[in-house]
Amino acid sequence: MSAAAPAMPAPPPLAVAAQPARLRTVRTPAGMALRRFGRHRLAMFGVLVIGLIALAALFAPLIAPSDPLKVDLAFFRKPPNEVHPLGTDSAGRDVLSRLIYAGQVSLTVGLVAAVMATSIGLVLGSISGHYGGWVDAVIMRTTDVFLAFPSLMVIITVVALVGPSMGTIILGIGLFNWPTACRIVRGLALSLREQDFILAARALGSPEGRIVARHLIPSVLSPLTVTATFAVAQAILTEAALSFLGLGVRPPQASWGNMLNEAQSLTILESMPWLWLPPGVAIAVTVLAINFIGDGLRDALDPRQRL
Amino acid sequence: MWQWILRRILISIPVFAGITLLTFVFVRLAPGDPVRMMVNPEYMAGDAEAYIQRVRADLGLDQPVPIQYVRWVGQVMQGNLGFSYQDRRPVADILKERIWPTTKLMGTALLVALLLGVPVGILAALKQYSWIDYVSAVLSLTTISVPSFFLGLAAIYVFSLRLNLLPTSGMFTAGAPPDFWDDARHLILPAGILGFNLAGQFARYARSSLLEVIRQDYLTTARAKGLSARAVTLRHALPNALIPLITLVGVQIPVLFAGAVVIEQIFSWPGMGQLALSSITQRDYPVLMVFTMAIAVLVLLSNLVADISYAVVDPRIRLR
Repeated sequence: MSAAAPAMPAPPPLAVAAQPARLRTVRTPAGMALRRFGRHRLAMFGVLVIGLIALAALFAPLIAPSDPLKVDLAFFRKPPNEVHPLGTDSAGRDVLSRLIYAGQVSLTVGLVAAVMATSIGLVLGSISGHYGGWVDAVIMRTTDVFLAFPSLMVIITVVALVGPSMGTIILGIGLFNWPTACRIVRGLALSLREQDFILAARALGSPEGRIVARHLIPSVLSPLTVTATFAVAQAILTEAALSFLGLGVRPPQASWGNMLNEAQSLTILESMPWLWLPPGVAIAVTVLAINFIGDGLRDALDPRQRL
Repeated sequence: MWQWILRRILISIPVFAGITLLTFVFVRLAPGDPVRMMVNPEYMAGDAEAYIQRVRADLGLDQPVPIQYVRWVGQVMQGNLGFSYQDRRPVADILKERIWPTTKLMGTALLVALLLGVPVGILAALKQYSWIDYVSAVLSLTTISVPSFFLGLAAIYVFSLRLNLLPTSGMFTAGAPPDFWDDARHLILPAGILGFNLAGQFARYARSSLLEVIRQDYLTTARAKGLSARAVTLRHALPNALIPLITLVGVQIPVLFAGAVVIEQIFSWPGMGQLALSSITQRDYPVLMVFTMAIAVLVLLSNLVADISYAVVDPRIRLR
């Protein structure tokens, strides 16, 4: 899917000697991909937004106007004012501070769960695609079962039964969202299996395990970053949905999802928009920005797929 | 053809059995005791332990997990789905009440997603790199990114609380006689939002599928023999481009279902999603098991229907 204007690789300049520095950055595949990524306007916007959110989350103690957990019943659901720029919630806690600290939760869950899911998919997928035969059949049927089931339902069940916490959410998402990555890696591994550099490694007597680890996995990593990026967005949405349903991050710890959960009454909805609008917008903007980055990465890494 | 369908059904049986076994074992091994949740705390004062043991024995929960599973399968085979721990009603009755609302919600949402997404995707592909393409790309990413529960709250705020156009929750006005328009008004927000979340997927898919077909040689031939652009698109490109959408719809059914769980919660929609959440939090094993089976059947069935309709539309599939 193209979002930005068509970014054709620049034709090699004729005056080679005139601009040696620029030529070097253009010629390597990584450099070309980076250039295409840099031209993707939406992706650049995404990088900017995520950068700001990550900085805010990282330096939360310095930025947040007050303690996100400090209860002050004198400030029960106060509208935005000078002390509390986004007002206060039902326990008199500062909404802006909670919003900033909740960013830590979302980004941590998103990154860790996505890395976990993608790694499981990477290992299983490369084994499946490289070895083939019955190993492949078993792994692929398992993948089918996992894909057929609504993963949110499975994660809800696991988290509810084991006990909701940030750790169980990460485990739940990581352990059940790997099949997408697995399928993609398997497809890539199948096509790589017959390529010359793999055959060469085998001819040199390299053991199969070493071929997978040293040659196969590095070659699938770059297309896999796209899947991993979308997985981060997916994980953040899942955490938010779980916390919204009351099965995720437990109050008083703040998460964008559980802030929305606490705002589920019609009274709050109607007359206290500062309680539900900011966390909702925060989730939407974060996920959208990550999806923009994923789109940009896909366009940049695989020019043929720019459909 | 029939043989192929039969084989497909036979293949799904072990998958189905595997799902029930896994769920059963997992649910029983997880911490949390349904008996303690059922027992009224007021009775716990006196000789509570003995009472709890008796209830546990009554429910067969004192047996080892493998025996419990075999017993459960035996009962299900005889058509007995068991009784809910929460209100002691037959699970089959509860399920019967819940299936229709969820089907109605999901069906309408799917329709909304297709009617919204596919035309946008086609338009974007036909005008590739135009502003339409650009806007639709951003829009479809947005529909995927905005969480349904936030969209739901925002929609209730705008359409119900501010404009006073649509009801905030439920499936019909309580106490009023059954009325089609009343039902429809209740359906608009939940189904619309559920469908909106999916529309972007369909748009992206329709676009890339059509773009792939447009580059095929037979379309060049069609153009070369002097057919109008319109005829080429409508008669030659679109039918082939939209076939893969059938599979996508099949794959999206579980996603749609997960979405329904959240939507039902926001709009107090009396469907299977709400039932699922309460049975999980209450450790209502019989309901949870039947519910899992229902999803498995739904998913396997929708995949089967997708595969069959695919084979009907594309004769090449049947040959394999």
